[in-house]
Amino acid sequence: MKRIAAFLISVLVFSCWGCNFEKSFQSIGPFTVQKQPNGTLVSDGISRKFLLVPRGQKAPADTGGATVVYTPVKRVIAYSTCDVSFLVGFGILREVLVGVTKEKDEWTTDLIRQAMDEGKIIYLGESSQINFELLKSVKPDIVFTWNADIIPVLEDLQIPTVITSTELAKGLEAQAKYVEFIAPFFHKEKEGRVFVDKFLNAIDQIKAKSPAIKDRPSVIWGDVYNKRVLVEPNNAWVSQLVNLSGGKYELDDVQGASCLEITIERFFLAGKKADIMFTYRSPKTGINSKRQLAIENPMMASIRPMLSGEIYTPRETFYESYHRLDEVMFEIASILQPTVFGPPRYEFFQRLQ
Amino acid sequence: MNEDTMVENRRYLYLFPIVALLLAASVILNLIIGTAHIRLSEILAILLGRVPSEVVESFIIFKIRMPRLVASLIGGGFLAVSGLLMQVYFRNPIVGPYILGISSGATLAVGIATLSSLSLGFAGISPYMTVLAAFIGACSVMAIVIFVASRMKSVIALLLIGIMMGYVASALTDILVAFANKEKIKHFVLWGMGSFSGFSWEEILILFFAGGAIVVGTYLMSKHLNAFLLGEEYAQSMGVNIRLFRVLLIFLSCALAALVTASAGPVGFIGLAVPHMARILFKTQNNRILIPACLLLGGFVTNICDLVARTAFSPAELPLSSITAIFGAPIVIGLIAKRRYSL
Repeated sequence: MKRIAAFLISVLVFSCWGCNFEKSFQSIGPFTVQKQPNGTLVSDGISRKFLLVPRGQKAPADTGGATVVYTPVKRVIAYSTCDVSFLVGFGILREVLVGVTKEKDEWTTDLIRQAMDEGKIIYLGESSQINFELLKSVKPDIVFTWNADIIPVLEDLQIPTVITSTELAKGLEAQAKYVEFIAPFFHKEKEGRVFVDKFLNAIDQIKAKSPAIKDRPSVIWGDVYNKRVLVEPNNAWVSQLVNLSGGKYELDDVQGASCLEITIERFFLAGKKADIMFTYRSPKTGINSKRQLAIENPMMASIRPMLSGEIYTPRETFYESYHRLDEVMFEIASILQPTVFGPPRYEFFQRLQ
Repeated sequence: MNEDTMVENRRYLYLFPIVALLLAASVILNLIIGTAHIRLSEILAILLGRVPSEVVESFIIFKIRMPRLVASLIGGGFLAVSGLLMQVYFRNPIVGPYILGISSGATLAVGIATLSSLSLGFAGISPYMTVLAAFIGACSVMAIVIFVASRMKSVIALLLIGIMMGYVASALTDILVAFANKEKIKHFVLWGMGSFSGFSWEEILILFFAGGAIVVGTYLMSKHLNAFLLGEEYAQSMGVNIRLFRVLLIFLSCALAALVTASAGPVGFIGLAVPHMARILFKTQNNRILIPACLLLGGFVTNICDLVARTAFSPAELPLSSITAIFGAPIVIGLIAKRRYSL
């Protein structure tokens, strides 16, 4: 049960932060980042405060209840692929990452696999079955996790624990700005800003080409699992991206958390209209064709993307490419509007035949 | 016929039609309420065959809504009867159809089928395989329980063995999950939450005929069930072959639970709470009355819970077992607190 929670939450992590374009970064959702004279005060996904004090400086006597973390952090344990991918993006993965909760074979990023081979990064056990002795032995400065249940144990071990996911905000802009919460821990604010600018630039480029879009394909994002339907709601970053990239997200009345269960009836109605469907299943599950998908879900056989439309499945790289969100966006835009954005490269998604 | 019996019969005479009317109302509500807005006149036209089957609305009514409501109706009724039989067997009001590890056995088998399908060389697993696996798992546990029941006299020992078997099956399932492909777990976890969504008419026919035969068999045993409630010695004096009767009772209860669980996954609380509702409503311990009452009330309660599950936050869907638990738990707690009656 907890392993599926890990998967679902890793998807959620992918969608942290609010989508209010008007508000400043410092006040969106539970995450905040505030520069202060004696350091940077941040709050995590469950609003716990951390005072980031540069190494060499003395922490103030009164931190107002905030946990002091000396930065840049040098030894990190990260649960989510989202947080790990930002370390890749900052170019500091080999220097700082010391522990993960996925085995080597489950990673596709060569840098991580190599570091695990060399013993620089240790597999600590599944997220629900962490080996805390091993965790303590790698002497982390901090643990980034989505699992608040482990906070008491790690407090006993005197290891600061930062919750890096939230259900409160999941929009597209927030997805990009999440990096600005992670960056101060590593003194990578400038790199974080570059990432955000790249992302905003990608949005601008996509928006600029939008007038050339004539027909908007109808899109659904989800799957049927043993007669139950899980989908991305309309407020998820992927749905917003679909609408932005020249598509029309068909489940526009569905709001809520990522991987939300909806009725078969609603899915079927949307599926009858949709031209394109993105599934959650990666080819790793053995689903490599529409036929296999139909065998596993007979009810899906009659929806339009199965009959005459297109179905895409995320490659493993997709889940480790949060630092390349602009490229992911362009690939989705190319899938939806190949004549406007050029043919897709299929680096993050695979088309099922 | 004494006066008490006449009063009772009069009560049943109006209570059964009332429950049947409630059931009919729940069926109509389930048919007309859904994510897709289909007008009543359209639904009538679809039901009368005046709308071609390829029209979306017709597909929704015949392939999605009706199978679901019929499945929840039948499945809920069967679970309630299964729970009633268990409560009679153990003479304990706080047992349900899953007390002897039926759902854990089904869950383990589904876990083996879904979580290890890749390792066994299957790319995907068809829903029918899931149903078959669940049935085999539930029946395997049932076979062990029956074997034990035929050799052990102590009801408590059997109960403990059933609970232990549930633990073992759950432990094995956890081990499977620990080594499983993460994406496969999604499929498995959703099955474990129980739902009457996505039933096919073929599944319903199997459920109806197989379960129906068991319920008829149970009803024919109701006189013996009543005697058994008064004690084994009494039942024996009434000519009941206790050893055979106990095995048969467990078989019928487990088989009903296995049939429903195989197709719908474990649906909690119906089997536990509805028999109590039937006893309170009909003010009787007579199984000749309680069996049909459980069938009707079980269908009604499950239908209403399912309606709430799929419409409360529509188009988002809530797990059925959560709704049945929210509904069932207060009833059971209330009964325990007040001790209004005993078995």
